[in-house]
Amino acid sequence: MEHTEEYVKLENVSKIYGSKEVKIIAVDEISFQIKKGEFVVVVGPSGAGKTTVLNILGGMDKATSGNVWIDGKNIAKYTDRQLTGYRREDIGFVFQFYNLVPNLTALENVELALQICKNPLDARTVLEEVGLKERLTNFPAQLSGGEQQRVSIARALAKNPKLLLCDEPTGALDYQTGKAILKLLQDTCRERGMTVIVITHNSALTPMADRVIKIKNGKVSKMTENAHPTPVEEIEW
Amino acid sequence: MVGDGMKALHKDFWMEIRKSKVRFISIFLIVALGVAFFSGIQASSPDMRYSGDAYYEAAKLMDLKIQGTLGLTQNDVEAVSDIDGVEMAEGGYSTDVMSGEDDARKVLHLESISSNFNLLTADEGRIPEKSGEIFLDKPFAKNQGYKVGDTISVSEDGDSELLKKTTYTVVGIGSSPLYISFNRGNTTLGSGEISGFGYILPEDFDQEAFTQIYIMVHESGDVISYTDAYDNLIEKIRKRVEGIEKEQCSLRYDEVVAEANEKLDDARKELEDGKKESEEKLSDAKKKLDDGQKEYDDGKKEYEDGKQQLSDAKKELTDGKQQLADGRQQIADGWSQLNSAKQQVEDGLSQLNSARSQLADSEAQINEKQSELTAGYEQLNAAKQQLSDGEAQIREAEETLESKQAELDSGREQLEAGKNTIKETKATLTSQKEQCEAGLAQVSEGETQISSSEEALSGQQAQLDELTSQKEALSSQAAELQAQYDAGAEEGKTEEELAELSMQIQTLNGQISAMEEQINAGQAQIDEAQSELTAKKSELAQTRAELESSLSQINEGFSQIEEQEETLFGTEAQLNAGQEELDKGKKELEAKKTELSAAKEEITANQATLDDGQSQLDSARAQLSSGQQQLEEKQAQLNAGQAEIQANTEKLTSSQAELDASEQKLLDGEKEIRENEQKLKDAKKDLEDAKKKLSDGKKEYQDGKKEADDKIAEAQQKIDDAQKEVDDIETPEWIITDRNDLPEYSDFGDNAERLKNIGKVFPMIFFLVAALISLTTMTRMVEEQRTQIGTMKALGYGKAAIASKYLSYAFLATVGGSIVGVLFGEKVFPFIIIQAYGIMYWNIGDYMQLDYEMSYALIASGAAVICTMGATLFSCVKTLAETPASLMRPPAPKEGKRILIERIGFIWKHLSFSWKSSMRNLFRYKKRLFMTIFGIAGSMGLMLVGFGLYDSIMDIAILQYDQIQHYDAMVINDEDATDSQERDLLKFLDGNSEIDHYTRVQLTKMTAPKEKGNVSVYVYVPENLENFKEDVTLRDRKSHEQYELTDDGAVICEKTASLMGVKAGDEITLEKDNRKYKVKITAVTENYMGHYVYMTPSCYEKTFGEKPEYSSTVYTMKEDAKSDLETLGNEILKYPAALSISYTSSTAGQVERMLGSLGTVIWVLIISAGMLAFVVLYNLNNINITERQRELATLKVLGFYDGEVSQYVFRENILLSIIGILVGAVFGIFLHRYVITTVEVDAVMFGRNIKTPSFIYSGIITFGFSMFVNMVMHFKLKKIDMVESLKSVE
Repeated sequence: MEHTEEYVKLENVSKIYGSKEVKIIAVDEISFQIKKGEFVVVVGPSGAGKTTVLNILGGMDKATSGNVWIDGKNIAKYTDRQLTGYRREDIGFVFQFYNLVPNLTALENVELALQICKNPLDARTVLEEVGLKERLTNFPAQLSGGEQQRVSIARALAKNPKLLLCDEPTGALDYQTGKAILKLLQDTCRERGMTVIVITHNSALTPMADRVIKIKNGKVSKMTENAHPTPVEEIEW
Repeated sequence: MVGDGMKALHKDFWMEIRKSKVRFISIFLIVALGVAFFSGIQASSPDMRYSGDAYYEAAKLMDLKIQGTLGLTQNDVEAVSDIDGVEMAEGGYSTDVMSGEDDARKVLHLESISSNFNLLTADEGRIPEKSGEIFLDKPFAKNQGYKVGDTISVSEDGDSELLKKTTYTVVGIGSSPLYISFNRGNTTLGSGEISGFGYILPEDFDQEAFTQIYIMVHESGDVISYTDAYDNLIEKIRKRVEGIEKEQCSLRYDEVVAEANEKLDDARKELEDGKKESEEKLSDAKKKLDDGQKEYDDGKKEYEDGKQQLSDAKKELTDGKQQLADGRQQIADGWSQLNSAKQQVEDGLSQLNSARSQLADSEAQINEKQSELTAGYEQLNAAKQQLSDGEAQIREAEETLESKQAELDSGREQLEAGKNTIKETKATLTSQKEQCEAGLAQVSEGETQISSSEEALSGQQAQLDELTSQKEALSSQAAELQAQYDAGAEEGKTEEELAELSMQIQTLNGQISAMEEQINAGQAQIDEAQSELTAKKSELAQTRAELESSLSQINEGFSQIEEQEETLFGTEAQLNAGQEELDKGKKELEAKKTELSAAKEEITANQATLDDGQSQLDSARAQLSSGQQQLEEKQAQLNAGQAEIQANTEKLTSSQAELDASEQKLLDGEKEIRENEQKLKDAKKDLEDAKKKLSDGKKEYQDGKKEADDKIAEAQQKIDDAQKEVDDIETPEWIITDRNDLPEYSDFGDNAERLKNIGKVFPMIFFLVAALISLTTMTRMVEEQRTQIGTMKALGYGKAAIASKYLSYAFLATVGGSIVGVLFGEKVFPFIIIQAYGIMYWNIGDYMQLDYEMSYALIASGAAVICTMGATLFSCVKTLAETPASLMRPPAPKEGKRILIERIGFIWKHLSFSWKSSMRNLFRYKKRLFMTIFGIAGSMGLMLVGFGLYDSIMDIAILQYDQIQHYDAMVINDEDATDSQERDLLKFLDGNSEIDHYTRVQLTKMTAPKEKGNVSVYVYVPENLENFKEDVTLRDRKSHEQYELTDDGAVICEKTASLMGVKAGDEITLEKDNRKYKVKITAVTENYMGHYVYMTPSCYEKTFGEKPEYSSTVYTMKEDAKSDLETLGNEILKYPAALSISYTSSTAGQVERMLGSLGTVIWVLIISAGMLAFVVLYNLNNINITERQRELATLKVLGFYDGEVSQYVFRENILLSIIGILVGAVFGIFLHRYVITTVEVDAVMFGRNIKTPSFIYSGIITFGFSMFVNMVMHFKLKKIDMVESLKSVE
């Protein structure tokens, strides 16, 4: 059964940190849904709970309450081991600080992710596609920030995941490089039909998305759908 | 404000400690461990010395001891007391005695009790208070089974009488400070080894002079034994004592010599008196003896005469007997000859008879043959007649055949002529016939032409007939038409029609007429041709007839010829048949001829055979008649023989009768002689008795004389010996010894020294590891807190203030750890170790002095503090040098680097990413790599030393008694035994079937002086070098090269050599009876227990100038009789020559004791090493995981399961552990070698090798610790929070 319309669906998801006395509500009864193949931008100020939402979506964190449906499965009910399996097979992560294994080369970093996954793409091809054909055997320290982020994206893509989750992917990059990375993500979404969720605090990026979810104080303040998203090249900020 | 800031800092500091409890405690503990181990083991050495000194002082152990070769006097004691620096001097008595019953005879050293020196410690009972009481050595009492209240009897050596009593009551058992361990020193008695000591009151000694003087040095209690200060003090006083030695000795000499000379003079006088008395007695005896001799000689002569007569008579008798025997023999020979002659005659007769019958047989055969021959001649003649008849017939037949042949030849000629005529006639006839036939063919052709012409004619005729029929048809048509015309005309037909009809009729008519013409012309031609043909036909017929008639004539001719031919053929056949018959006849004739000639030959042959037979027959007849002639002659001879035999028989019978008569005479003579013999024998017996009496008398006289002489000589000898002894009395010497000469006194000091050596190596390693670990931990801590340092700096705190937090942290942990370590270590380790040594030096254990050695404490703590603080300071300074901004940024990540192994493509390609990453990680964090390897190798090495020590001690038992010393037991001979007693023992050993072989040996304990102190060695001289090879293996420890014992020099043991600092080719000095002898070392042999110097008998003689005394015997049981060893030993001990037996197997107990005292040390090592391994691995792993938290979190995010993440880290640990274990194994081998050589005591050499299982155990335990740490780490890894770790950059 296909869940194209409600490929990703959050129902009253909350995340509360802390003990009984001091409760910090990071995410407060959030609900939204995303269609398959959409390019989603989640915006909001720092501390609004974007990253928590992303962590819950990515199986890195567990919701305190609520349901998280991914392609018809409720991962909120998963055990730790199931969640690890979920991350292993279904999720691609792109971090602000790349998080590459420093003593593996670009190619090996991608292959490292692939060796535990069932239906991977060819690491070399994916790296070529993200424009790193010449840098396969370089160590992370020998790569620029943009190149490292490309490796990171390649690592996520090569797993052939259901969801590509990006947490401030351009946060540590300069304007031009950031733009290139965003274009890479947008192209990936269009060409591969992959569902991409990007977290950013930069509202200027919203026009490029199919769907924009604004989060404030742990709640969805607004959700809009763009019938005609603007290509990244045309966006200035 | 500043105060507040400081307050905040303080708070932060304490919070930091609380937050990082594990880190703090681990530094604290590892420093404590290191310091405890280091200072504790180091302190053990002085503590041992203090304990010893405390005991010596409490027991008033003497400082110096003087022994005089001629004893010492009260005068000497006073002289010594007067020396400056001598606090006290006291004379005392001592002697070595034998104690116990036959089997268990032991040497006991008896000494007089003093209340000022060498105080005894009674474990049981009390110190003796009155005469007849004894205080016994504890181990001796235990081994020999003496209890308080028992009595012990002792016996002195030879004729010395130093003791008043030989039986004492045991009132106390305990120890003397003169003997701190098991060794009791040496003696000249028994086995040469003292088994124990005993103390009795001075009153029990019956001695005019003291045997020794003990000296207590002034202020010696203020210096510690085993220190240079003590040694120097004693040396000073010793010099002073030596200063008065000469004077005191010459005084003593004069005293002793005067006393001895007096005694000698008395003895000489006694001897002279005795000599005189014995001479008188002897001369009386001599006279009596001479008289007896004369009487005896007369009797002997008489006897000799009678004997001569008897022997003459005997001779005659013998001759007569001989003659008689000869005559008998002749008669017997004659009879036997006669019998054989008779036999011959009878044989001849029977031969004759058989020859006669043979002759008759031959004659009959000859006659038979003759008749056969006659018949053969007759047959032959008939055959000859037949032959000539056959020849005549053949001749006749030949003639007939020739005439027949002629006839046949003429017939054949005629036949040939007839054949030719026929052939000609046939040819003529054939040509005629051909002509006829050609004519006939022509005729036939003509006839054919005619018939074809006739056919053409008949065709023409048919055409004509047709024309005729057509004409008739036309005519009928014309008639019809006419009729129509006519009818038409009647019926009124038109004119026209009528005209037409008439026209037609007319035409028709015309045609008919033309036809008629044609027919006519045709008919005429046909007729003409017809006639011509007929003419021709007849002509032809005529010709044919003619031809046919001639043809038949020809045919007739042919048949005639054929007839003739047939006739000819018949004739020919007849001719051929005749010929054939003729040939056949000829052939038959030939056959007949051949037959005839064969028959002729046969006849000729038969004739020859027959003639032959005849001649044979004739000769046979001649033989026959000569045979008959011979037979007649033989018969005559035989008859003559028989007559002769008859005559001889008569002769023999008469001589027999003669012989019988002479025999009777001889028997009578014999009887007479026997009677005379008996008489002689009696006379002889009387003579012999007389002789015996005489010689007895002589012997008695000789014995008496000898006895007297011997006694005199002995007395003289004694006097001479005594004189010599007196002359030999040398000016006495003093032997001055100090504590170092006491058994094992210096060993204890050496052990303390050795412990110090161990303390230098072991704890050093331990300490190094500990220091390095705390160093790494602190460095890491500073690096981790980069951001915080940056913040503080940004907030404006000074460098010192910031650094002080870390320095304080390190200081607190290190100093705390050091204090605990010192407090704990300096009490526990010395306690354990001295306790362990207490097994060997039990008295000292009771005086244990466990003082804190501040120097070691300070060195250990100081080093720990300096290392940790230094490292912390260095990190702080490095970090603080950076700007706050750069501090807030994460440190530049360590670059990934390619490692060497990547260049080896085929290995690298086969590694998984995890392995690749692990390999790169190992080399990326080089510090950690080396620290871990160092730590694990260290603990592996320590553990290996622990196990290795155990192996080495076990080696002693295994190698010494399995591979080096093969004899099962040693019998020590009693020196007092007589030669015959010794022979009895040897006879028993020779005859015993359970003993494989035995060797007599000399085994003497001697001292070999070295630079400092002495080594007690056993000089071992085997009587039989072949057996020695089986008793003791001499070989090199490493190469196992076998050595031979040669006359060139001695073979000494490895340990002895190393103690003396000598090697093969050097010389070794041996002290025997206070004289020094040198011997060359030919080889150094493997040996673990005791010090042996092996020499051949001739080498011994060369060295010491005397033959060896084989006072011991080693023996080996047969393989299957090993279990009877002790039973046999008890049997041996029943022989008076055997003093005692020591069994090789019982030495195992000694090894066990040693294991006991070192066992504790070994366990301390193993447990400490295990703790070290754990702490090192835990700490380093902790650092590793914290350092790489981000990387590990990333792996988790990527979906690595917990197990996979752990594996990712553990792979490195396992690799490092394995490398560490391998390095540690090598390291351990060297450490073990070092430790072994420093730990072992002088008397034994430990094995030098670690056994494989020890490597395996150490490896497994170390690896086990590593795995245990991994397990602990697994849970730590599980707790890593992805979200937290990845949240921000640290």
